[in-house]
Amino acid sequence: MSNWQLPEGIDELTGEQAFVFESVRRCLLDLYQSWGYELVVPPMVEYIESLILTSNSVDQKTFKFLDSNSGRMLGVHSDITPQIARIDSKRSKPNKTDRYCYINAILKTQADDFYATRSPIQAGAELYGYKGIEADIEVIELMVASLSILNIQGLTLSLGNTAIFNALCEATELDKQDIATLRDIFKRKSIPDLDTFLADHAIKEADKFSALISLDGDDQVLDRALKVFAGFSSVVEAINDLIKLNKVFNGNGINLMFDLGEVKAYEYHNGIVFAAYHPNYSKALAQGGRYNGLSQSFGISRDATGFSFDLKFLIQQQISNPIKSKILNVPTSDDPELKAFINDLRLQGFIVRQDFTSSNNLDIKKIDGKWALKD
Amino acid sequence: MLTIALSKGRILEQTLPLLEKAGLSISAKELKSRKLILDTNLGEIKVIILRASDVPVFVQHGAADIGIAGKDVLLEHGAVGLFELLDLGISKCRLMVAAQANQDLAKGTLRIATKYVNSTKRYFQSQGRQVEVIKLSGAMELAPIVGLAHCIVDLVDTGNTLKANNLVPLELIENISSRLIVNSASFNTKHSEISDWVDRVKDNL
Repeated sequence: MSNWQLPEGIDELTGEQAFVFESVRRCLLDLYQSWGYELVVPPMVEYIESLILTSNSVDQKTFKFLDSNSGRMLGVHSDITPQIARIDSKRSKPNKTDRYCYINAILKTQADDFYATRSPIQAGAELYGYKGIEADIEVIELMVASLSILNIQGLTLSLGNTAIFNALCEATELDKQDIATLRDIFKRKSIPDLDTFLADHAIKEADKFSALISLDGDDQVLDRALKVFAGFSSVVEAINDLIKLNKVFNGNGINLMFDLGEVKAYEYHNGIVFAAYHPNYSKALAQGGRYNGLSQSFGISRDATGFSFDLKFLIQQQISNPIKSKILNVPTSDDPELKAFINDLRLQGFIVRQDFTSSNNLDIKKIDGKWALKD
Repeated sequence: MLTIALSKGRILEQTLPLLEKAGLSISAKELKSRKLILDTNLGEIKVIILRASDVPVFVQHGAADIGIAGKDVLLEHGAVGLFELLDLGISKCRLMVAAQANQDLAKGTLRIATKYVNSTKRYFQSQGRQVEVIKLSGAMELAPIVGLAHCIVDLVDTGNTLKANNLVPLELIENISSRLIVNSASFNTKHSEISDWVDRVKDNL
């Protein structure tokens, strides 16, 4: 084994990518600050109870080890959202809206997808303390603004509402195991497997589950959904929220797609969910949704919504188009005039590098006794 | 533009007539050629023909938008990031546990020979049974006969191969047939094209 080799799914940014990463990171933080989002830097390691909360998916993807100091199990963060819930729970006040943003390296035992990184750099923003659709609209707008900083145009915004699936499950009084099976079927949008499941289980609302899995497409699907679920008040309310989002985002230069049977990878999502896709990429570039009540593990119930994305992945895919700065080669010398000239160039934004080899490949020269840029 | 990945072999023979009924045909000249990406009568649709186990990989990575693959292949692959929209009802068989007629499987850790390692582990885990899985690529029926394994997990069609080797099917893991799968990102970015095409296949099943 070579010493320089990194573990599978662990990688690094170097050179141009590292530089672009840092400049994009700064732009994103400026963006979030300008929208009133407070930067938080959660710890890399916490007690597993506060990291995992209710999510099996997060549990499976968290590296754990024993803390010899406390005798308790610690975990390395694999998702920032539960940490934000903890941070918010210890400082929030009832009826107060709080906004948080972060850009942190995280670590996963298993990759989320076939791009196979286990060491994403998760960027995101979370809005706490407001139940209304205006909060969902704000975080979706902020997600789209984040991607435009990365020069990603031509997005498809996929919108769903897991409250529909959850309300149906509640109405059928299914047990936890059956709900988990159904969630998996919906996640894979496996219509044949749903048919088999419904044939094997005599459950209420079977026809509605059958309809829900295929309720996807442009905004016309919302009218169809209202007809399918007429009289099912909690589901109609959830569809109406999607209709409101359609009014806001339709015609804004974003392609809209509605998928009413969408259930997210994390079980904690329980309302409006969204994801941004681009035709050049075979996975969602950014995604998020509502997760009211995740803070209950910390003794407080807060409404919350947010989004996140792997900034490192987007940089690695080079979908941002950084302007390559020219590097100026200058001679090394004790000449105070040269040093002053170099300082002046750097203040003007040039990248200036001393050439120790005394080569002729220099970008400045003395003209009439004064240092100047070559033509 | 849509790209469809098809599985080689028996599934392909049964798939092509289904696609033709839906209005998509590939000329005999294209099929016999050594080209890897085949043109169809519909200019906006290209076809690639792959080993069955590679179909979900191509679709998952977005190298193909749509694929046709056996449920056995999807179970083994894991099918993350894929939507499974249609059961085409072709290439039907069963994924089964089989053993010699006199074999007692009730005691101890089972040693199982199979090429479906992931599906086998998942199935026995769900049964709460401890197993040791031996990966083989073929001639599975030989494993219990020569004492390599207590039983096998394999596809069973008519059951004649099992019978010829004095094996009996014991437990059904999954009914298998070919499925139409779609890349989940393509499903969002090319929804109208994909839905139109899937509906055409569905209407002609």
